[in-house]
Amino acid sequence: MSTNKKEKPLKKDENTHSESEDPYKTLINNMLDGVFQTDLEGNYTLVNKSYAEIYGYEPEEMYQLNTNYTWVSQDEKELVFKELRKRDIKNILKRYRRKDGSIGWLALSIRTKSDLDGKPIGFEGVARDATERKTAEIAQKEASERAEFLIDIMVHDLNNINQGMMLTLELVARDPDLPLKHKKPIELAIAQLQRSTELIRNAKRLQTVIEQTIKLDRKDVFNEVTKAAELTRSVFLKKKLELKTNFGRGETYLVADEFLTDLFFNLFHNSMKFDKNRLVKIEVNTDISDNNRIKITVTDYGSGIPDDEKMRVLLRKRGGKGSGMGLTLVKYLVERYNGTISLQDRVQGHFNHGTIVVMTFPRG
Amino acid sequence: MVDDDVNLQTVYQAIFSTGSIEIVAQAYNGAEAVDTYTKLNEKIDVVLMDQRMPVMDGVTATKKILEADKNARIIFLSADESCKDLALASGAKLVLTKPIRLEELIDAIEKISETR
Repeated sequence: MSTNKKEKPLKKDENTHSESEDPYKTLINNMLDGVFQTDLEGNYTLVNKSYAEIYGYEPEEMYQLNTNYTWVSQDEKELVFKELRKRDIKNILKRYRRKDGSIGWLALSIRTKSDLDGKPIGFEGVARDATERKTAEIAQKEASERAEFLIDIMVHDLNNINQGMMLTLELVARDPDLPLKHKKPIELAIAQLQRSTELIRNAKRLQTVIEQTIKLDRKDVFNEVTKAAELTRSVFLKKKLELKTNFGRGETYLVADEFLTDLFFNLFHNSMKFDKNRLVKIEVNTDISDNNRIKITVTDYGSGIPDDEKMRVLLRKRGGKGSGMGLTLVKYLVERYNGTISLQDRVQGHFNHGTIVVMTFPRG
Repeated sequence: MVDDDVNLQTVYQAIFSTGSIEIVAQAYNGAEAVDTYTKLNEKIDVVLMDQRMPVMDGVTATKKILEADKNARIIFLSADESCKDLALASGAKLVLTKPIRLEELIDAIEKISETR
């Protein structure tokens, strides 16, 4: 294609009849991208095969056409040409009309073509069919909106229902005349409601993590661990969390975002949930002996995870087991921070003596 | 007590029908809340405010109530934690996320009402 704005325009017959004599024209015609030139009125003065194919025409047919026919809306056309008066346009997506009348999407780069004196004499550019890409984008957007709608129902409506049930059950549980045999089932119902709340919270967080543009910053790991521990304690009012770390404030940093708290919260939450003891011990340790990566381990003393479950709990799929999605969220977050995660037995070969979550991240 | 969920309002009524906390008035949207607060503000220690409601949302209602009485104490009680920053910016003293445990709710109401 021409890259010189002040070049003399190619004529129709030069393109269509003389290409065997001119390797330059052969190149244009063999290009996978569509190439075109028009005069100021929008009549085609040059099109290659790829450009004509996009519209479903033979190149010769296009020379009988004005670009007006290929635009779907005059408003769109006016917007593009208004912008074109100010600057060249690179890779915009616009709709186009094919020979059969169907509508597609075009990735278009276009600029004004001038003569040797700088006077505009037409337009030229390259185009590529982007219908498949745009259709996929639209489908993705619609799927995302549907997911957001369903999550919104869960977060708002189900949480409202859960609130009503939670307070009612707690009111009943406080009744001094409540028979002892009813006390336990009510406590179990409250625990189930908390699981439901936990699931809703994590589904919302997961959606946010997947949808939100990644913008990472330097985070003090100690601060995030402390926040996560406080949050965990507020959920498990009847248990005690004893947290130990081998590092302090301002000593270890990760390149992460505000979801780093969720990462530790979900790990602590899991430890608290599956440890039958009232006092739950968790250790968070960092190893910075590698110059490039930081290793963080979270160790608990709970009931552990069998070997064949270790990978599965990190990869919850539709139809899979599990209730809280917590570890799935953790895995998403670790990957978001360019890290790795694996689960190990605290005591090798004895999964039921607790778990060590091993994560590595780039140094912050 | 401001919430458009009729069932929840019934639960709140049952909970606070005994004990030291009394529901002075109930409103089912932000506009009703502003109107009711303006009439009864002498009797109200704390407003519990939902965010997502018809007619007027909780953040707007909070701003209007605070315009009428800059000493109003408003606790947000919303199912959606994403409104937290907006609620605090509008002048809410505290933001709680539903579902909340009864003990935590009572503690929050008592703590905020003591700031009078």
